[in-house]
Amino acid sequence: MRKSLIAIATLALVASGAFASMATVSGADHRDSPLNVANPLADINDVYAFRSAENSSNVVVAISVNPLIAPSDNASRGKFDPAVTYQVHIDRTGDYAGEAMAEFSVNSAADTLIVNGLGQQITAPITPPGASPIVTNVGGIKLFAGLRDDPFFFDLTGFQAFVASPTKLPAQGLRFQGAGTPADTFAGTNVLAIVIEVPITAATGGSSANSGTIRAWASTERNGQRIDRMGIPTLNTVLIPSGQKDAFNQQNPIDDIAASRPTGINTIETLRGAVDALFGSPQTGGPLGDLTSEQVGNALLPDVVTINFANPVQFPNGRRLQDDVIDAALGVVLNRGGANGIADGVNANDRAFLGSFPYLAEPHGGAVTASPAPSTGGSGGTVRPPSTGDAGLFADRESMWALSAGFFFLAVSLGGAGVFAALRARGR
Amino acid sequence: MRMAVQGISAKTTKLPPSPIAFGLAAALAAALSLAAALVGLGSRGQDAPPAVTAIEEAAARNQRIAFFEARAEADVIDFVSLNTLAREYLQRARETGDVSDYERAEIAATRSLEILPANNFSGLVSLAAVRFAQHDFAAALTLGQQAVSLKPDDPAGYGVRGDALLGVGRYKEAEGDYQKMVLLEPSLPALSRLAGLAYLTGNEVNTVDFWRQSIAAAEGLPAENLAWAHTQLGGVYFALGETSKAEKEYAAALRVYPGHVPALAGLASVRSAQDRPDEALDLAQRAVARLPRPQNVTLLADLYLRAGRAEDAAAQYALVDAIDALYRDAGINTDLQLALFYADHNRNLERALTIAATAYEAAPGIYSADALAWVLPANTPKPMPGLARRCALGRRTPRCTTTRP
Repeated sequence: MRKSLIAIATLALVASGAFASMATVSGADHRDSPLNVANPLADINDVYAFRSAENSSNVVVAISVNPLIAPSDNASRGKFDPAVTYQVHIDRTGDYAGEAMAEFSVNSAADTLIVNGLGQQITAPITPPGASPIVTNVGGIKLFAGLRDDPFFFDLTGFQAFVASPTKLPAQGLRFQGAGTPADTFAGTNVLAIVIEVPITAATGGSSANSGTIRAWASTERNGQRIDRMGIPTLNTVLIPSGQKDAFNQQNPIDDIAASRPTGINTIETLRGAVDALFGSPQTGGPLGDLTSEQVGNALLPDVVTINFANPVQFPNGRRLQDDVIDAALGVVLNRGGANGIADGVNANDRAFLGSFPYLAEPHGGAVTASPAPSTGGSGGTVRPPSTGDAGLFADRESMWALSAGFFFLAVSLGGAGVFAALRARGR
Repeated sequence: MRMAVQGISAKTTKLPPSPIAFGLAAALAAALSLAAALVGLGSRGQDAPPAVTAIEEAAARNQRIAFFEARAEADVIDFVSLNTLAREYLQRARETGDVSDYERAEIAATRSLEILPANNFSGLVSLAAVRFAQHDFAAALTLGQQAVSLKPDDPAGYGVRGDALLGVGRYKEAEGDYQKMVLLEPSLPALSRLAGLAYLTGNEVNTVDFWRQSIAAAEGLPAENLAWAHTQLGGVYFALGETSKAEKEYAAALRVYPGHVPALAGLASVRSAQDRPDEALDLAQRAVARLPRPQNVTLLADLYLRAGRAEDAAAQYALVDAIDALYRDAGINTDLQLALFYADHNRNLERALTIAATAYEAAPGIYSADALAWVLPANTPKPMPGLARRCALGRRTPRCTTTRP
């Protein structure tokens, strides 16, 4: 009886051609909705600021977004998003209000960079993937936008493995025995970069290229809505409790001292305690000398990068491409250097930087040969916070986020301070 | 089609070789020339660009996978590359139907989570997606929960958790996750989930509307995703009896992604309903040739049957069991598909009931309830509460509509 009923029903389905029902049944059968594809274009990975090697009266600012582009993806991922704009804010007076702002956007065809805020609007063609770099020179300002080798060098995977098991001492760099040798996670991959060179006096508002101090930070907007802001990438993520992160991104540096500085100092103190317990050796001061947690915390917040042009412009007084910010960050935050230091074992980029604008090395998969990077020595400068990059990765958005989360995890695992259990880093 | 790679367990570090030789790009290129003829609709002048995009995408995906496979090979703790690979394998599985890519995704995500057990959002999401595909909804739910608590502002976590909740029958919570997801990112992944849920609840207007919105919000996503959305909408129209609208959606899918197998199968159903059996058979044969999944083989068999070719139909029916065995080897749970196939074709009815009842007991969700409702004998001694709850969701699901337990 039942068989015949089903047979009739089946025949009815066949007759009506109702086979589509088959597609609604089971897993792995194209009913499943796809996963989200991360769009990392609104998150700034790294910001660099250094004195121009071609003209020492100029400062070069480079912003990178959209990390871990495989060379085969240069064409598909090497495009800016017209919905996203990037702002660079400059404060000259020390009140963190930000007197000047340059805004970078792209046209709807994503082939032209548009810059507002530097006098008259400037437009510059974006270098297409595979083409030689197109440098636009307008009124003493140089501009480049397009694919480049990712200048960031860091053993991110080694760092992560280290903080995942923070009770083991690493054998090489941050890697445990059997976990391979230190390697630059970003080697062989490309980013999208915007590079601009302007007279230092235009940035400082002063009359000399060897004086004046600016405090700078960047923000991003998508369709006019603030997405992100940063001066010091990554470390804020550690300092700001999860419930306040959106608010933090919406607020401005002028509000940072009251909101976050005490928490930041506590976090640093806890990190130091954790690492001291693990390494069993004393803090002997980092690359900038013996600094208290409070001194470092005071430098971290407000969240801005300070550049004093009377001093050599290098990390943390600005950031050159070749600066090993990870080692410096570890040293400053943990107050460790020399024999008691902690380093990731990756000390240089996989590609030599250029000696001239746009300075960032040619993208992998591109054809042009790089020339060696210039070297400008020097040391000192005011204590500024480490800038470690913030790679919101295409398929791995959490990696740089995890870097900061890793710091945090380290603190919680070893320090165990209850207050930090409330902190949770977020992915940008 | 590559089938399961034997002897690979999730604990294996080394990834199974990728089927670059599968030649999807070449297959797509070949499909290009057929696409217009198959579709027989639309403006051919506008067909070429998206088709080329799909070809380029497939080729680029294989190159990307090779790039990150080499990195993962070179660095034993490179969880960054493993997470990228897991996602790419999952997408390629959608495009090629190669179930061994689910296995690769599982291995990559599992290894990534071993390296980085905490703070590994991408690893959690990918493994949750794998578990969902394997119909291990409980495991998918656990992973999804972890993902959401790790990154409460990321839509992807809500997607996989919502899917798992739907799988285990927690519909209200699934809906909540999908709504949260769409607020965070109103694009195809979220909107398509709402469309699917609206369909299950019998809300035809919302179903169509959400699918339309999905189609409009596919920018930046793989071409396959857009083709898939068109195909799903086509399926909805077809179930509603709107054959010509269904035809247009399937045609649109084939323009976006030439040779998109679900669209070929859907169009075959349309042609059958339009009493154009030769074209229907041709389309179904192409679908089976490209992707011999049980539902495609069954479709072809049914069309043979309708055309009076009983022997051809019997051969296809026999094939279903063999394919099912291969899927099982790959860890893909096809119990429900098998139960429905048996019930539809008067084969192994007792076993169909056992399978469906077991599946429902293990995971009393919408899919298992739907299958059970379909295979349940008419003389069931008493109604099942779970079944009632499932039918209360709506009347539109074809099997629920036609089943009278």
